[in-house]
Amino acid sequence: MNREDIEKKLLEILIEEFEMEDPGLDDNLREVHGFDSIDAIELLGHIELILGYDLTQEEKKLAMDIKTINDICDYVLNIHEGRS
Amino acid sequence: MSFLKKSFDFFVTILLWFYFVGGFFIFFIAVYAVAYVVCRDRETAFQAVNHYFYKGFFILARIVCPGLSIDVPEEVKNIGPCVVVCNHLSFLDPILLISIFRRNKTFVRSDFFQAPVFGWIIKTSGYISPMTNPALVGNAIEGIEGLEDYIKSGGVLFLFPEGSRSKDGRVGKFSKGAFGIAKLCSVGVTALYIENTEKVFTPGRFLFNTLEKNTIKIRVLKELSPKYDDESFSIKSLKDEVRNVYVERQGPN
Repeated sequence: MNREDIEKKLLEILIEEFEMEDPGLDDNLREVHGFDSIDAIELLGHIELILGYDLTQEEKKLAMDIKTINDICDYVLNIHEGRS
Repeated sequence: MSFLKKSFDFFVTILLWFYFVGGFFIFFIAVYAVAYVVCRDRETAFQAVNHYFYKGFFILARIVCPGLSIDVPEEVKNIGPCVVVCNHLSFLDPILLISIFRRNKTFVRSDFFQAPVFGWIIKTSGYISPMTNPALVGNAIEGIEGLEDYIKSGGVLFLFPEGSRSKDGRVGKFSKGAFGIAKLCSVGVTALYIENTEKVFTPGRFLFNTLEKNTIKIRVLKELSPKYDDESFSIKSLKDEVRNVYVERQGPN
Protein backbone atom coordinates (compact mmCIF):
# COMPACT_ATOMS: atom_id res chain seq x y z
CA MET A 1 0.00 0.00 0.00
CA ASN A 2 1.53 3.32 -1.07
CA ARG A 3 0.58 6.91 -0.51
CA GLU A 4 -1.29 7.19 -3.82
CA ASP A 5 -3.50 4.20 -2.98
CA ILE A 6 -4.30 5.65 0.42
CA GLU A 7 -5.02 9.08 -1.01
CA LYS A 8 -7.35 7.62 -3.66
CA LYS A 9 -9.27 5.53 -1.13
CA LEU A 10 -9.54 8.42 1.33
CA LEU A 11 -10.86 10.79 -1.32
CA GLU A 12 -13.50 8.23 -2.32
CA ILE A 13 -14.57 7.84 1.30
CA LEU A 14 -14.62 11.56 2.04
CA ILE A 15 -16.72 12.29 -1.05
CA GLU A 16 -19.13 9.35 -0.77
CA GLU A 17 -19.50 8.91 2.98
CA PHE A 18 -18.82 12.42 4.27
CA GLU A 19 -20.52 14.31 1.45
CA MET A 20 -17.50 16.53 0.82
CA GLU A 21 -17.55 18.49 -2.39
CA ASP A 22 -14.27 18.71 -4.23
CA PRO A 23 -11.99 18.22 -1.21
CA GLY A 24 -8.46 19.57 -1.58
CA LEU A 25 -5.52 17.72 -0.07
CA ASP A 26 -4.52 20.73 2.02
CA ASP A 27 -8.00 22.00 2.88
CA ASN A 28 -8.55 22.49 6.60
CA LEU A 29 -11.22 19.81 6.94
CA ARG A 30 -12.93 21.44 9.90
CA GLU A 31 -13.07 24.93 8.49
CA VAL A 32 -13.70 24.16 4.84
CA HIS A 33 -15.82 21.01 5.05
CA GLY A 34 -17.31 21.13 8.57
CA PHE A 35 -15.54 17.91 9.52
CA ASP A 36 -16.12 17.39 13.25
CA SER A 37 -15.02 14.98 15.97
CA ILE A 38 -17.89 12.58 15.23
CA ASP A 39 -16.75 12.47 11.61
CA ALA A 40 -13.22 11.76 12.86
CA ILE A 41 -14.43 8.72 14.79
CA GLU A 42 -16.38 7.48 11.78
CA LEU A 43 -13.35 8.02 9.57
CA LEU A 44 -11.23 5.93 11.95
CA GLY A 45 -13.60 3.03 11.26
CA HIS A 46 -12.94 3.44 7.52
CA ILE A 47 -9.20 3.67 8.14
CA GLU A 48 -9.34 0.39 10.05
CA LEU A 49 -10.99 -1.17 6.99
CA ILE A 50 -8.27 0.24 4.72
CA LEU A 51 -5.54 -1.08 7.02
CA GLY A 52 -7.27 -4.37 7.70
CA TYR A 53 -6.84 -4.21 11.47
CA ASP A 54 -8.12 -2.37 14.52
CA LEU A 55 -6.35 0.76 15.74
CA THR A 56 -5.22 1.05 19.33
CA GLN A 57 -6.61 3.80 21.58
CA GLU A 58 -3.23 5.55 21.42
CA GLU A 59 -3.27 5.49 17.63
CA LYS A 60 -6.82 6.83 17.63
CA LYS A 61 -5.84 9.68 19.93
CA LEU A 62 -3.12 10.69 17.46
CA ALA A 63 -5.78 11.05 14.76
CA MET A 64 -7.45 13.89 16.63
CA ASP A 65 -4.64 16.28 15.59
CA ILE A 66 -5.38 15.73 11.92
CA LYS A 67 -6.35 18.82 9.96
CA THR A 68 -5.98 17.99 6.27
CA ILE A 69 -6.26 15.01 3.91
CA ASN A 70 -2.49 15.06 3.57
CA ASP A 71 -2.31 14.70 7.37
CA ILE A 72 -4.64 11.68 7.17
CA CYS A 73 -2.43 10.11 4.48
CA ASP A 74 0.65 10.65 6.69
CA TYR A 75 -1.24 9.20 9.65
CA VAL A 76 -2.30 6.05 7.79
CA LEU A 77 1.14 5.57 6.25
CA ASN A 78 2.89 5.99 9.62
CA ILE A 79 0.68 3.40 11.23
CA HIS A 80 1.01 1.02 8.30
CA GLU A 81 4.80 1.33 8.26
CA GLY A 82 5.04 1.20 12.02
CA ARG A 83 3.10 -2.04 12.18
CA SER A 84 4.93 -3.69 9.29
CA MET B 1 -45.28 43.94 45.84
CA SER B 2 -42.16 44.01 43.72
CA PHE B 3 -39.99 43.86 46.85
CA LEU B 4 -42.04 40.97 48.21
CA LYS B 5 -41.86 39.15 44.89
CA LYS B 6 -38.09 39.61 44.68
CA SER B 7 -37.70 38.46 48.28
CA PHE B 8 -39.75 35.36 47.57
CA ASP B 9 -37.80 34.68 44.36
CA PHE B 10 -34.58 35.05 46.35
CA PHE B 11 -35.74 32.71 49.12
CA VAL B 12 -36.85 30.03 46.65
CA THR B 13 -33.69 30.39 44.59
CA ILE B 14 -31.56 29.84 47.69
CA LEU B 15 -33.68 26.84 48.61
CA LEU B 16 -33.26 25.30 45.14
CA TRP B 17 -29.53 25.97 45.17
CA PHE B 18 -29.37 24.45 48.62
CA TYR B 19 -30.95 21.29 47.21
CA PHE B 20 -28.44 21.37 44.38
CA VAL B 21 -25.39 21.76 46.56
CA GLY B 22 -26.45 20.76 50.08
CA GLY B 23 -28.78 17.94 49.07
CA PHE B 24 -26.06 16.62 46.88
CA PHE B 25 -23.32 16.63 49.52
CA ILE B 26 -25.51 15.69 52.47
CA PHE B 27 -27.55 12.91 50.93
CA PHE B 28 -26.82 12.03 47.34
CA ILE B 29 -23.06 11.72 47.62
CA ALA B 30 -23.67 8.74 49.89
CA VAL B 31 -26.00 7.23 47.30
CA TYR B 32 -23.35 7.65 44.61
CA ALA B 33 -20.75 6.09 46.90
CA VAL B 34 -22.98 3.08 47.61
CA ALA B 35 -23.78 2.71 43.89
CA TYR B 36 -20.07 2.84 43.12
CA VAL B 37 -19.25 0.10 45.60
CA VAL B 38 -22.28 -2.16 45.20
CA CYS B 39 -23.32 -1.94 41.54
CA ARG B 40 -21.50 -3.88 38.86
CA ASP B 41 -22.81 -1.59 36.15
CA ARG B 42 -21.71 1.70 37.70
CA GLU B 43 -22.51 3.72 34.61
CA THR B 44 -26.19 2.76 34.57
CA ALA B 45 -26.41 3.09 38.34
CA PHE B 46 -24.95 6.61 38.29
CA GLN B 47 -27.28 7.62 35.48
CA ALA B 48 -30.20 6.42 37.60
CA VAL B 49 -28.97 8.37 40.64
CA ASN B 50 -28.59 11.49 38.46
CA HIS B 51 -32.12 10.90 37.20
CA TYR B 52 -33.58 10.73 40.72
CA PHE B 53 -31.49 13.65 41.95
CA TYR B 54 -32.85 15.94 39.22
CA LYS B 55 -36.33 14.49 39.51
CA GLY B 56 -36.17 15.53 43.15
CA PHE B 57 -35.10 18.99 42.05
CA PHE B 58 -38.17 19.44 39.86
CA ILE B 59 -40.50 18.01 42.50
CA LEU B 60 -39.10 20.57 44.95
CA ALA B 61 -39.33 23.33 42.33
CA ARG B 62 -43.02 22.57 41.80
CA ILE B 63 -43.63 22.69 45.55
CA VAL B 64 -41.85 25.97 46.17
CA CYS B 65 -42.83 27.76 42.94
CA PRO B 66 -46.61 28.20 43.23
CA GLY B 67 -47.10 29.06 39.54
CA LEU B 68 -44.95 26.29 38.12
CA SER B 69 -46.25 23.15 36.47
CA ILE B 70 -44.42 20.66 34.27
CA ASP B 71 -46.17 18.89 31.44
CA VAL B 72 -44.35 15.80 30.20
CA PRO B 73 -46.60 13.43 28.25
CA GLU B 74 -46.15 9.65 28.32
CA GLU B 75 -44.95 9.60 24.72
CA VAL B 76 -41.90 11.61 25.83
CA LYS B 77 -41.24 9.40 28.85
CA ASN B 78 -41.45 6.28 26.67
CA ILE B 79 -39.04 7.39 23.97
CA GLY B 80 -37.16 4.34 22.78
CA PRO B 81 -33.57 3.82 21.79
CA CYS B 82 -32.63 6.83 19.70
CA VAL B 83 -30.71 10.05 19.60
CA VAL B 84 -32.84 12.80 21.09
CA VAL B 85 -32.31 16.33 19.84
CA CYS B 86 -33.83 19.29 21.59
CA ASN B 87 -34.00 23.07 21.44
CA HIS B 88 -32.05 24.81 24.19
CA LEU B 89 -33.47 27.72 26.18
CA SER B 90 -32.14 27.50 29.72
CA PHE B 91 -29.74 25.70 32.05
CA LEU B 92 -32.81 23.77 33.19
CA ASP B 93 -33.09 21.91 29.86
CA PRO B 94 -30.38 19.27 30.34
CA ILE B 95 -31.40 18.51 33.91
CA LEU B 96 -35.05 18.32 32.86
CA LEU B 97 -34.12 15.69 30.27
CA ILE B 98 -32.08 13.75 32.84
CA SER B 99 -35.08 13.87 35.17
CA ILE B 100 -37.22 12.31 32.42
CA PHE B 101 -34.89 9.58 31.12
CA ARG B 102 -33.57 7.07 33.61
CA ARG B 103 -30.87 5.91 31.23
CA ASN B 104 -29.40 9.12 29.95
CA LYS B 105 -26.20 10.28 28.33
CA THR B 106 -25.09 13.51 26.83
CA PHE B 107 -22.02 15.54 26.01
CA VAL B 108 -20.77 17.71 28.86
CA ARG B 109 -18.41 20.68 28.72
CA SER B 110 -14.85 19.49 29.14
CA ASP B 111 -14.06 21.80 32.10
CA PHE B 112 -16.79 20.06 34.13
CA PHE B 113 -14.78 16.84 33.93
CA GLN B 114 -12.00 18.52 35.88
CA ALA B 115 -14.28 19.65 38.72
CA PRO B 116 -13.76 17.76 41.98
CA VAL B 117 -16.50 15.19 42.77
CA PHE B 118 -18.78 16.41 39.96
CA GLY B 119 -16.14 15.44 37.38
CA TRP B 120 -15.95 11.95 38.89
CA ILE B 121 -19.74 11.62 38.76
CA ILE B 122 -20.14 12.66 35.14
CA LYS B 123 -17.21 10.47 34.13
CA THR B 124 -18.61 7.45 35.95
CA SER B 125 -22.06 8.20 34.48
CA GLY B 126 -20.55 7.69 31.03
CA TYR B 127 -21.16 11.25 29.91
CA ILE B 128 -18.91 12.26 27.06
CA SER B 129 -16.54 15.20 26.76
CA PRO B 130 -16.02 17.09 23.52
CA MET B 131 -12.64 16.53 21.88
CA THR B 132 -11.48 20.07 22.53
CA ASN B 133 -9.48 19.06 25.60
CA PRO B 134 -6.49 16.86 24.68
CA ALA B 135 -6.54 15.27 28.15
CA LEU B 136 -10.07 13.95 27.51
CA VAL B 137 -9.71 12.74 23.94
CA GLY B 138 -9.52 9.14 25.15
CA ASN B 139 -12.75 9.56 27.11
CA ALA B 140 -14.44 11.08 24.06
CA ILE B 141 -13.33 8.34 21.66
CA GLU B 142 -14.35 5.53 24.02
CA GLY B 143 -17.60 7.29 24.82
CA ILE B 144 -18.61 7.79 21.20
CA GLU B 145 -17.57 4.28 20.20
CA GLY B 146 -19.67 2.84 23.02
CA LEU B 147 -22.80 4.77 22.05
CA GLU B 148 -24.20 2.24 19.59
CA ASP B 149 -24.36 -0.53 22.21
CA TYR B 150 -25.65 1.93 24.81
CA ILE B 151 -28.47 3.28 22.66
CA LYS B 152 -29.46 -0.08 21.22
CA SER B 153 -29.71 -1.47 24.74
CA GLY B 154 -32.35 1.14 25.57
CA GLY B 155 -30.39 4.23 26.53
CA VAL B 156 -31.17 7.74 25.39
CA LEU B 157 -28.49 10.10 24.16
CA PHE B 158 -29.71 13.66 24.17
CA LEU B 159 -28.05 16.57 22.46
CA PHE B 160 -28.71 20.21 21.74
CA PRO B 161 -27.79 20.68 18.09
CA GLU B 162 -27.73 24.47 18.51
CA GLY B 163 -24.79 23.95 20.87
CA SER B 164 -25.69 26.73 23.27
CA ARG B 165 -28.79 28.35 24.68
CA SER B 166 -30.87 30.41 22.32
CA LYS B 167 -30.47 34.13 23.04
CA ASP B 168 -33.90 35.13 21.76
CA GLY B 169 -35.86 31.89 21.89
CA ARG B 170 -35.61 31.43 18.12
CA VAL B 171 -34.09 28.25 16.79
CA GLY B 172 -30.44 28.80 15.86
CA LYS B 173 -27.99 27.16 13.50
CA PHE B 174 -27.68 23.38 13.91
CA SER B 175 -24.42 21.48 13.98
CA LYS B 176 -24.46 18.06 12.37
CA GLY B 177 -22.84 16.14 15.26
CA ALA B 178 -26.06 14.65 16.66
CA PHE B 179 -27.08 13.40 13.24
CA GLY B 180 -23.61 11.99 12.60
CA ILE B 181 -23.89 10.02 15.82
CA ALA B 182 -27.33 8.71 14.85
CA LYS B 183 -25.87 7.50 11.56
CA LEU B 184 -22.78 6.09 13.26
CA CYS B 185 -25.02 4.11 15.62
CA SER B 186 -27.68 3.32 12.97
CA VAL B 187 -30.48 4.57 15.21
CA GLY B 188 -33.37 6.96 14.76
CA VAL B 189 -33.65 10.59 15.77
CA THR B 190 -36.41 12.05 17.93
CA ALA B 191 -36.88 15.81 17.95
CA LEU B 192 -38.17 17.23 21.24
CA TYR B 193 -39.42 20.73 21.83
CA ILE B 194 -39.08 22.37 25.22
CA GLU B 195 -41.10 25.47 26.11
CA ASN B 196 -40.88 27.96 28.95
CA THR B 197 -37.79 26.82 30.85
CA GLU B 198 -36.30 30.21 30.01
CA LYS B 199 -39.24 31.88 31.73
CA VAL B 200 -38.61 29.94 34.94
CA PHE B 201 -34.83 30.32 34.98
CA THR B 202 -33.91 33.09 32.57
CA PRO B 203 -30.39 33.08 31.08
CA GLY B 204 -28.23 35.74 32.69
CA ARG B 205 -30.48 36.02 35.73
CA PHE B 206 -29.63 34.56 39.14
CA LEU B 207 -33.16 34.38 40.52
CA PHE B 208 -35.83 31.86 39.56
CA ASN B 209 -39.18 33.34 38.52
CA THR B 210 -41.23 31.69 41.19
CA LEU B 211 -44.59 33.42 41.29
CA GLU B 212 -45.48 33.79 37.64
CA LYS B 213 -47.70 31.14 36.13
CA ASN B 214 -45.50 28.99 33.92
CA THR B 215 -45.93 25.55 32.45
CA ILE B 216 -42.77 23.89 31.25
CA LYS B 217 -43.86 21.76 28.32
CA ILE B 218 -41.99 19.15 26.41
CA ARG B 219 -43.32 17.61 23.22
CA VAL B 220 -42.25 15.17 20.55
CA LEU B 221 -42.04 17.15 17.33
CA LYS B 222 -40.99 14.33 15.08
CA GLU B 223 -39.59 10.82 15.14
CA LEU B 224 -37.36 9.97 12.22
CA SER B 225 -35.99 6.61 11.11
CA PRO B 226 -33.54 7.61 8.37
CA LYS B 227 -32.45 5.01 5.84
CA TYR B 228 -28.72 5.40 6.28
CA ASP B 229 -27.92 2.80 3.62
CA ASP B 230 -29.98 4.58 1.01
CA GLU B 231 -27.82 6.25 -1.64
CA SER B 232 -29.83 9.43 -1.39
CA PHE B 233 -29.28 9.74 2.39
CA SER B 234 -27.40 12.83 3.48
CA ILE B 235 -26.55 14.04 6.98
CA LYS B 236 -26.96 17.62 5.87
CA SER B 237 -30.48 16.90 4.56
CA LEU B 238 -31.39 15.14 7.80
CA LYS B 239 -30.06 18.06 9.83
CA ASP B 240 -31.96 20.56 7.67
CA GLU B 241 -35.14 18.48 7.83
CA VAL B 242 -35.04 18.40 11.63
CA ARG B 243 -34.23 22.10 11.91
CA ASN B 244 -37.15 22.91 9.62
CA VAL B 245 -39.45 21.03 11.98
CA TYR B 246 -38.40 23.42 14.77
CA VAL B 247 -38.71 26.48 12.54
CA GLU B 248 -42.22 25.41 11.52
CA ARG B 249 -43.14 24.76 15.16
CA GLN B 250 -42.13 28.27 16.12
CA GLY B 251 -43.93 29.85 13.19
CA PRO B 252 -43.13 33.25 11.71
CA ASN B 253 -41.56 35.46 14.38
